[in-house]
Amino acid sequence: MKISEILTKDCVCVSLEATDKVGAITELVDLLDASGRLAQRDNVLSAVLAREDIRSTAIAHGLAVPHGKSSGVTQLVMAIGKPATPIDFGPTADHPACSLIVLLASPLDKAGPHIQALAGISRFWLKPDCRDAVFAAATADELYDAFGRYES
Amino acid sequence: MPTDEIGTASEEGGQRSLARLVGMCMVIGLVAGLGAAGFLVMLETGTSFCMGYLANYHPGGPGFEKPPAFLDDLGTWTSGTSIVRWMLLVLPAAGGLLSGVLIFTLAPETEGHGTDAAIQAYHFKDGAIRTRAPFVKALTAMITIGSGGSGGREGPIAQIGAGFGSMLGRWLKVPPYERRVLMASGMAAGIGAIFHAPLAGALVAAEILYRDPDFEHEVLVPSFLSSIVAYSVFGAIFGFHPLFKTPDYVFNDVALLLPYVALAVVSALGAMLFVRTFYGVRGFFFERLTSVPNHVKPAIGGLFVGVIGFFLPEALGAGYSVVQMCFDDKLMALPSAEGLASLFPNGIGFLTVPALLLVTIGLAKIVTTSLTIGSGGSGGVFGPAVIIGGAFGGAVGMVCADLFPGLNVEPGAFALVGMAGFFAGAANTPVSTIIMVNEMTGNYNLLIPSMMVCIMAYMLCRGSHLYREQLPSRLDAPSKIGSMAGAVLKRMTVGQALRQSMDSGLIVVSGDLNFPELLKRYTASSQDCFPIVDEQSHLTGVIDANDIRGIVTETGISDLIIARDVARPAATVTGGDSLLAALNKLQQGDTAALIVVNETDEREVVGTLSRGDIIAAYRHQIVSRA
Repeated sequence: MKISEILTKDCVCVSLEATDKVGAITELVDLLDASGRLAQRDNVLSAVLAREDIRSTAIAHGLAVPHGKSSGVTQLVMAIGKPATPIDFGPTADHPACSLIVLLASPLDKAGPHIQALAGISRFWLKPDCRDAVFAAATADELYDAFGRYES
Repeated sequence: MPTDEIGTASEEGGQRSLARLVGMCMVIGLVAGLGAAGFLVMLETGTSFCMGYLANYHPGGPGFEKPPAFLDDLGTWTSGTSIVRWMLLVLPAAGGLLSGVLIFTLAPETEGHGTDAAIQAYHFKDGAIRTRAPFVKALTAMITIGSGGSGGREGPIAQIGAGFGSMLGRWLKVPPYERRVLMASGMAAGIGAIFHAPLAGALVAAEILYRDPDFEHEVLVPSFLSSIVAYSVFGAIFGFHPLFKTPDYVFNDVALLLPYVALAVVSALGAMLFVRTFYGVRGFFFERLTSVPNHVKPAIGGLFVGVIGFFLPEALGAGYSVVQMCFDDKLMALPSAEGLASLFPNGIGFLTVPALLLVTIGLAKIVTTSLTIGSGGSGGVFGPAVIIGGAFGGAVGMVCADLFPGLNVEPGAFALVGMAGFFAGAANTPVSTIIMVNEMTGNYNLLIPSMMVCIMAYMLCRGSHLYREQLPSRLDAPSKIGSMAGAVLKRMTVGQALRQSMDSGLIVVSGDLNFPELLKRYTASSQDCFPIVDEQSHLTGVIDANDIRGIVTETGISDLIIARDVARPAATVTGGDSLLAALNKLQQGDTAALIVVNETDEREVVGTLSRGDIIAAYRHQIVSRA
């Protein structure tokens, strides 16, 4: 599953104001809510936070993928944000904090697409070129294009 | 109704209101009765014009069948004092050409004998028949049979009645199961009316669908209802008499069963010869004429028929008069009797002149019927078959009367029983044929010899099939596969299947289990799904093996995923649920397996149930009962 098939431009932000993981997750959920993609914003937010509480979603090279399944969403949705300063999502082997946060939420009964999307993000992030393009993006358009360009 | 659910069609059919079914059958009976009457008038008109007016040949019909008063002048249409033989030569070809063009231009499915088309529509087309088919069939059968082609009424009326039943089903948008039943009851109504045989009409619709002694029981009651109405409507117009007028034959000497055994053997041999000739002419001659358009083939068949008819007019048309003359002991009044008597004044061997005449007509009728219907002309094979059987039966009776003068053998009685035996053997329908012939003749005194001869002929002819669309039995019917499998699965419980599949322990996982650990359990197990449980061992969801399969080779996600991320809501059943319900739930949920939970506490996991478990249990049930 390609990220560009799920992601829309209005759900990309390169200037997250939050400084902690709860704030960053809340900001990205609000971004999805503002774009009209959520049926129940609070439901989605608590599902993602609850999942993050069980086990951190931070992975190598400074990426966090907070995600959850909730009845507050009718289809798989994604929001991406770059915080002004890296946020601590929990320890990983190589990075103390995360420079890119990808939030994913999907309906309760859609297990397949949910994990395929997670696999797609992970695959993308493993490539150095992709990571460089993301780190270099200064605007939402550039960040959005980075995903589209490198996936194709 | 979801089309992918099995076993629901018959359930739904059974739940339909009785009142609605009765209403539909009444309407079908009414229309089929009127249709049969209209078709008979068309046949009489066609025959009277071609045979009577143009060829001055008045073969007569079955004894009791009198056209209504408004058709009285049909019998007086004439053009001279003796048979115009050259007309008999050309008329079948002309009729074949006209009907061939109409059939293959308007509705090619109406070629040949309509009963096979109706059987095919029942088994393989969910009872769907095109609206135009009955009308084209009626018109082309009138032309084919009226112009001298050798064919009967049953095929066309079967297709006409069945066509209306199917049409009604389509208009009322009933499910395929009901449309098939309506179609069959239309067939029953048409046959019951036109042969003055309401009981046999209903039975034949249920029996003719299969070669083995098997009945389509679900069409019986609707067929009875529509057949009663159709017969009543038809009888109100043509009278409530049997078709043939017969003397009061009796069976009062057990020694008579011996010559009836001979009749059974002759009937069986004749039926096999008929079936072989019929399909031989079609397969080895007409189907190999690839350069000739189908439209013209009935004309070629008609030309050969005309040649035979030129010398032996009795082999033309419906031919009911031959059997009627046999009953009336007036065979020597037939047009060909005099010529045959001058050729063989003392007959041949055991065959006296009347017996020789009957054998000649029987053999010739086999050929003319094969040529007429095998070439694609329109007509039935029941009519010719009973005439041929009656002719052979009469001949056997005459020979036996001469050989065993002390036995009081009545050749007419042998003709009657021969009609039944011959058709029972050819069509693999012994039960309805016994009733049919007894109803057609209004004579039930010969029930015992009829039963014996029909069953013997049927058993001797197991390899010959006049109706090639017949299926061996209900077990072979595509429409029954779902309901039969459904019936088995409905009687089996999830608990039964579970006992057979729970050889190894059940693996359940916690929602917090990390992905590498989950993969280990997945690869070490053959489970199709993994129930997720909380600290109290209560079910919270399920991991479907299909969802994991796509990501086992992904390298970067092991830190991202825990068991609950891969979970979906569990589709559950209890041990007391039927396997049919379980299978339908699997189908609807698009899951690899269901979670079996405790009946008293649905949060407690008992096991898992996959499609494979259901199939294994089904197979075990079938094998253990086989």
